[in-house]
Amino acid sequence: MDFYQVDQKLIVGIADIKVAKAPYVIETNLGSCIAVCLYAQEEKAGGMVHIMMPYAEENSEQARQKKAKYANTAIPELIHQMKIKFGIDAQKLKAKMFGGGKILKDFTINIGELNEQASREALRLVGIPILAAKTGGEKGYRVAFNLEDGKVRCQRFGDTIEEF
Amino acid sequence: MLNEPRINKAIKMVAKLSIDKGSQVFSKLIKTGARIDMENAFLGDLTTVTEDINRQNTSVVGAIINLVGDANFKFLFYVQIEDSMILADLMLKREVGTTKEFDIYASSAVQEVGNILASAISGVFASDFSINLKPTPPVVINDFVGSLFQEFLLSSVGEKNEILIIESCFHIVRNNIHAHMFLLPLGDSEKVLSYIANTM
Repeated sequence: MDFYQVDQKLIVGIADIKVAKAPYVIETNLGSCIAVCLYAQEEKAGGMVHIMMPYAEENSEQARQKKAKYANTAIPELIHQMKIKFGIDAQKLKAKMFGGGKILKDFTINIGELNEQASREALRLVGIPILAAKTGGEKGYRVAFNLEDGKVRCQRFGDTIEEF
Repeated sequence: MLNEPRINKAIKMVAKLSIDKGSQVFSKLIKTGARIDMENAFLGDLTTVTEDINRQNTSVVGAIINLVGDANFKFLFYVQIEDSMILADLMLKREVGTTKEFDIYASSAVQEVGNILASAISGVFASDFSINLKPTPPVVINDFVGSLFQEFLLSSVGEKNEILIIESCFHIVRNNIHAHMFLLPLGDSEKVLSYIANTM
């Protein structure tokens, strides 16, 4: 298995959201960050958010400037963008999540684990089920989200590519 | 504050001096011509900068070093895995091509080059601006370039959404190695750059 060779590709940076419809593929690389992919099967539409930190105080300056940076503001913002751009309600969305590795071993806190917990909590609060996840470990991830079928190809550095 | 032209000038001067010194030390070490060019010094949006890096999709080995003291900076040096093997051969004075897979020697070579370059930067701050910086031991990471770069930024951008990046590329002419270096001011290191700007 290889990553998708397509022209219609969107790349996601840190604290970034991209939403699109098929035939697009949305890609990113992750370290301790978490990528949450939301997909609406019928519309073949989806979005990815690249979350860097677990929480921001609601209505704080940081949250206002970059909602996609914090799990508790990023996931509502991704849902909002799916609604604004494609008219898709949260009830139609399913989630997959990836990343959250602990690459820098000398860090005392495991920010990847905190990001994962906060992302799961944010999805639970809005009632979106998580269909698949690959998280943790000590290496980075490459993730490609295919909006044709909602499948995600994920490779943890040094491992083979898996499909979720 | 970092958008002020005078401070940008200071950043570029520090970067240029550091790079010149790093080039000299490194050329001596490997006994071949190494040229380091400054590609860019800019204040960039966190998302845009990392989107560009993620687009590259390469596997690299890099060294992250903290420079701590009168100011605090974070330094990253990385090369593609194939180039780390050439670096290992050059540093061990072996025929290039001897190292055929990424191993402890290739990892050590990147660690050592990171050390040399970080020390060169510290030396410039000390000798030219009387600002004392001490490099911490390098942390070597072998990973996707996007993943490495994110970890480099992680402790620096908690509250900020803009990052000051000094990006350089060095070429070992005979072997065509391309390496990248990034220097990231942390916390109140902007004050140090202001001081440098005022002394120019």
